[in-house]
Amino acid sequence: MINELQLITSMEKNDTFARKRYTELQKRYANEYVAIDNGRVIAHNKSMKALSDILSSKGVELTTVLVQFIPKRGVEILF
Amino acid sequence: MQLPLVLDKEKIRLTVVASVNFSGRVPIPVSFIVDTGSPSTFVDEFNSAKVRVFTKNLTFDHDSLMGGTKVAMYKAGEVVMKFKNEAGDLFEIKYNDMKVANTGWTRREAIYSSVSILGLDFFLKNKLSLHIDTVKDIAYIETDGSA
Repeated sequence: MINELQLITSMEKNDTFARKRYTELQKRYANEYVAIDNGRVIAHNKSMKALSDILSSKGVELTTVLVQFIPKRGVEILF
Repeated sequence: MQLPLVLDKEKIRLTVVASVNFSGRVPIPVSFIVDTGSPSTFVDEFNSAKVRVFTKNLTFDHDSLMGGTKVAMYKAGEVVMKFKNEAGDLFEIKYNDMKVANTGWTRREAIYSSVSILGLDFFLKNKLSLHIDTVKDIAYIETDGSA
């Protein structure tokens, strides 16, 4: 049985990692997509499609994987 | 009842993680940006694809312009969403107008932002209120508990 509280907590952990390490992520992965799981970057690529393919080829369980685009410093994303 | 949000002062955003249960699928956790400027609530297709909900199998609803990029929105129908409340327990909200945003990965020069949005429509249809106190550094959704 799926524990939804656990799923939410795992994703929150990835969110917290992305938030607290944002400056570091911008330095290392500017203009790239990063995939974060278990509080660490597990893959990154300039192309979202390529990143998705990498995750598939690695057989990564995607349920709690957080993917974010990291803009270079000085650029903000508006929705 | 309060559903806590994260006030991200680095990226200047309000975020919340909720589980989303598309009809007949297992739930997935989705990180939403709370955007009162958005008239639509949607899950990005990277996330919905985790439970094999693909836009190619959904009915087109409308196009949205996000940061100058056209993003197609598809009807996902009713979903069950669960949020953590202030006590750390799950609180369920049914939402019958969820959309899935098409990624548009193949568009040249288009930045696929991989974002899921909790729009103003979600607050209106569920009669929710939004509270932000930047001095106390807290933000939350308030519900009377009957959603």
